[in-house]
Amino acid sequence: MKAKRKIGIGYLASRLLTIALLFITFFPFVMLINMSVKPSVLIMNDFLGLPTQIYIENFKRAIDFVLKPIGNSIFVCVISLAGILIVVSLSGYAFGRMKFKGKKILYTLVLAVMMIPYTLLIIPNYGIVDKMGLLNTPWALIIPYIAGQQVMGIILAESFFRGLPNDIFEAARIDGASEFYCFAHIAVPLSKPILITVGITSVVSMYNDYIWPTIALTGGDDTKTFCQIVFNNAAGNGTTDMGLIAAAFIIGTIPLLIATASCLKYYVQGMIGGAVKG
Amino acid sequence: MKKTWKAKLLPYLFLTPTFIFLAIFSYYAIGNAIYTSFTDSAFGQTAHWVGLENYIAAFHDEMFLTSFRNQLIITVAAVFTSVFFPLLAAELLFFIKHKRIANIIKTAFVIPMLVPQIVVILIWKFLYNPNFGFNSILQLLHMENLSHNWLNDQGTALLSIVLIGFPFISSMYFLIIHTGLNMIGEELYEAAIVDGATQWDVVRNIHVPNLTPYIKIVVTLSLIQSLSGFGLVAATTNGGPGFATTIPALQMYKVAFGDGKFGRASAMGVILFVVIIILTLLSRKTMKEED
Repeated sequence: MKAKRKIGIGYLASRLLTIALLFITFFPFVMLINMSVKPSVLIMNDFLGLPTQIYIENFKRAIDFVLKPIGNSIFVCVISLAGILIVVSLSGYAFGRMKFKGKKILYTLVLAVMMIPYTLLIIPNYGIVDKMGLLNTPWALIIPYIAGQQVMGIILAESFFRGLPNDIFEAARIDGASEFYCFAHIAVPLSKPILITVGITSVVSMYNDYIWPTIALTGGDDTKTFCQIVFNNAAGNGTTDMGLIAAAFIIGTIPLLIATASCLKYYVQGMIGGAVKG
Repeated sequence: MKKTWKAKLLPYLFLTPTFIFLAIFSYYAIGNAIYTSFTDSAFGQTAHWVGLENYIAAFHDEMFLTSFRNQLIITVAAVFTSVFFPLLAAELLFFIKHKRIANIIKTAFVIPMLVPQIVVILIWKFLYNPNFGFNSILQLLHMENLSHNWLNDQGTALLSIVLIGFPFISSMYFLIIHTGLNMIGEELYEAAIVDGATQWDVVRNIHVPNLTPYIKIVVTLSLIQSLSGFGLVAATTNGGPGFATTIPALQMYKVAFGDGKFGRASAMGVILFVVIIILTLLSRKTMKEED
């Protein structure tokens, strides 16, 4: 703004405030890492102090403890993701590029679902999944996740498909391409960015969910997801070894961190786009 | 161009999977929730129609009513923190002239967002532990007398929950406001420089009016999010101590999956649903009127 800026009190205060905010933001995570490399006794007696030596034992034991749930989470996310992308691209294309009777009403029916709070649906959905005989199987998560996550995806995909230039489709049609060909060979390949965006936002919310898994998977530990076992632990049933838990948290965070960091741009776009359109 | 019946049918075929899912898990589900709220449906029992009994019971349930008071506190705090701190951080970043440093700081604020929510909540739960965490810091500062069993003390439990995630910058609300701030055209600033505006003038006269639509989005989103979720409370205090931190959605969840009273819980869910719809419509309406 100004070519030359005086280093005044305001300047100094704003810089210090920025540093303070950064420090407080990261403090809990630094503490988590600090906890994960200390034995439990040391966490209790000297919480803030840094360990004299890294207690790697926590991580060794945590791996046995979380590998299976992380695998379950990833399995659920991958299968649901495939379902979501298929359903979203079909419906997004239909709403965004096709002309048919009743389009407006059907689209409104999709939008209306956004108004229903998730909390109200957990009781009936529990009954539905129970009747389908899916309780305590990964499908008790996958099928409701596809049903729920598709809505925001359709809204994002609809506006993307609608925004594609008409000429490409016209040219293909003149060459005698069918509507399905236009969808599968023109629209879908072009929609990579929006599908990544929809995919990553869905994966984050599915991996993060712990309420629905806690309701739908009450059997053995075989099917439980990572965030579910973390939550169960918080609810008081599980190990009390805090160093172990801290190490488990870190290991379980890594898959999500890799997934989101590798498409951060799309993730941010999805959050903002979803927020503005929702 | 005449369409064959096959071509006419194709859009509906494309939409079939979506509507099968919605029919079962949304439309049938919500109808079922409303129907169940008028029955005495309970775990492992056949349901009977009981009319408004569940609703009357809900309005006589001390805990359910208290939970709305707690919800009000949590929601007001959530809306405030979702706007204030992200806005503060976005403004601080804006005035850092060194773009690369500003970018690094922005990324640093975003990174914690990638950690699973439940993990963040539980780290805070560790920090609130009576034996270590914040109490260790107080001990270090020789202020042991301020130590609390933060989440288990009637006086501090709700406040402690509200403060989880402080300083509330690592969220999509920060991204929304930051994006909004960067959308403001350069020409406005050029005029301000000519007028000799101070940084404070820039914030007040250029940023705040131009950011209003983004702030409105954040208000609506944080309002809905705080009203519909109960995961935070379920993972920290589970409503306790006593009813000090109970919120309606958690109460509904406990009545359904703790007591197995689906009818009673559904009525609570429907009441909450109506409250959310009214508040959402009200907030949308007041925000539209201002435009």
